[in-house]
Amino acid sequence: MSPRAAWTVAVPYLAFFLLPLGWLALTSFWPDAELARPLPSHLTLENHAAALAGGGLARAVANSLLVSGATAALALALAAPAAFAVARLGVRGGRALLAAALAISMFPPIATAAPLYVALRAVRLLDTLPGLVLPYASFSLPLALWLLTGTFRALPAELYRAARVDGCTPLGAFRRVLLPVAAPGVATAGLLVFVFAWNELLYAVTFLTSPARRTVPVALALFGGEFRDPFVVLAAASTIATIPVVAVAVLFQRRVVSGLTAGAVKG
Amino acid sequence: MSVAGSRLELDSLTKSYDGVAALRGVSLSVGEGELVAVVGPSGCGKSTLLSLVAGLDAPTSGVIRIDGRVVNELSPRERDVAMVFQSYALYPHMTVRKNLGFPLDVAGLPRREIAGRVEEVAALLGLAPLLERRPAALSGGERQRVALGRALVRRPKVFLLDEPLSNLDAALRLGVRAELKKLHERLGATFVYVTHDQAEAMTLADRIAVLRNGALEQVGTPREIYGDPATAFVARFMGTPPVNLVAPEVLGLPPGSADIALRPEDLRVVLGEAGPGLEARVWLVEPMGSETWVTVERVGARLVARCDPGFDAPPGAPVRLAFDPQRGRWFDRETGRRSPPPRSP
Repeated sequence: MSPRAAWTVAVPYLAFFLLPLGWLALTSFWPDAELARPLPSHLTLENHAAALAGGGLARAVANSLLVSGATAALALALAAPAAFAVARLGVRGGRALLAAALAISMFPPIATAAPLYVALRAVRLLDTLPGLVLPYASFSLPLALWLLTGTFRALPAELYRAARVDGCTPLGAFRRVLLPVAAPGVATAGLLVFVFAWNELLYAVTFLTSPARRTVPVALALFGGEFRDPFVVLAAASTIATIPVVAVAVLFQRRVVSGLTAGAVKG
Repeated sequence: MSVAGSRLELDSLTKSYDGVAALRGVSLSVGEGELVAVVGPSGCGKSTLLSLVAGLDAPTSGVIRIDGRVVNELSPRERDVAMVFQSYALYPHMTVRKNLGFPLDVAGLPRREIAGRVEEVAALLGLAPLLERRPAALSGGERQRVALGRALVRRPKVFLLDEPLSNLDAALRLGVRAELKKLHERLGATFVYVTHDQAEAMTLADRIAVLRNGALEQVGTPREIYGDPATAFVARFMGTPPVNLVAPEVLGLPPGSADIALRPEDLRVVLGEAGPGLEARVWLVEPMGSETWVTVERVGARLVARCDPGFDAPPGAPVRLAFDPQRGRWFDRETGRRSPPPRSP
């Protein structure tokens, strides 16, 4: 594809996703009284101030960062060694494990919400952030496992063999050689899991009851009832809530595109 | 820097993958400080052999001994064997210095000793100016030297080299080949060198082991392998241009159950229709600079001869073909094994 053709595809595609986001951001600066006008006469930060007033939103962002970060960390910690074992160690039943993981990820979340509620109540994790991290991590595990298995399979087999001959145990070779080399793939998987957890609403609204433990989607969903005319304030709140995800994505993206595998083997 | 060589013995080694035999009863002994080249076409089991010795794979049956000690059950780390991979397998996230020091770091050596040994190996291989670079910033030849250095730095009991030159371009390959030979002479270490390139094996090895379909065809010095091949396969595999293996009647000898193999240097081709020898016609002339390879046709068979660099003739030109039957090696047509020369009538 020529650069020109690539642009003609990329620009409408990106516009499709970015224009609503841009409109949302613009709305957040729109003076409340001028909402009916085609364009605002001036821009204001009042809405952002109103959204942040009371500390509820800041609290929700902090909760979401905590929950999403912990989910990504837990999912990667479990999926990376498993993916390495399936891809490199020729573990018996590796394919069955991948198939089972895929099957589990097909469950509609709503079907599991009630049993999970009972389970979390039994272990006294209802209305706690760890109580959210556990189901999030287990539901994002299949995705992470599949992505990372592909990543480890794509690494040259001789890299693992070289590490073994150089004296590493299988786990040592994983930790000292394969994991650092697979960093771009691990970062990608982590980012996707993070975004999944950041956006999740159903479990969050079901399992959390205290306002102080709300995550961002819950806080935004329940915003309506608390203000007289919340459209612009809601826009401001949504914009603020998007910033951390974008920041995390940009941060991880550096790793994703760094092309660390260059030069491992010939070529 | 020198390394005390160790003795490596393989005893009736077999390896099957899902019932398919990759190695069938290979017995080979590599002496202290010896360089044994394992050659054979691709898929003959050469790389499997190295994996078994390195401990990356377990034999189906048979025994591996290093310095008399059975190492079958030992992990790669406990065997103290270093390996240079065909793809070099450098660690891309580490600098050359870290790559070289990695095996020592894993072994838990003190940092100061690691630094000293890395410097020593870097000096030996001319890698000192490259120590802070990543593998991606190195040329093919430089990567190859780092891979070699990572093996040397350990001073292991046995060095395993898996086609170490096959990823280098032709010009570089000859230089590195010579360096490897000097390095082996200097170190006095035990090397097992796997290659599909018979010229590499000829020039480097103290002894050559020819592997075919997972079984050893012959083990011997390069001169024995070349001059006294045990089987027709070995005769054909070694030497460029390849040996002439033909039915005896092609060379005017009485027919029999054995074929005769003649090296191209044992055939003399003289231009002209008259004279001693057998009549033949030129089929192809390939000037190589220092010599010319001349392929001639005779009673439907083609034979290649090494001739003077000045030899030139158009295809179809009549020539006389001469040879000393004593130089011929005979192989049973059915089994491919050596057979005694037929009695002269």
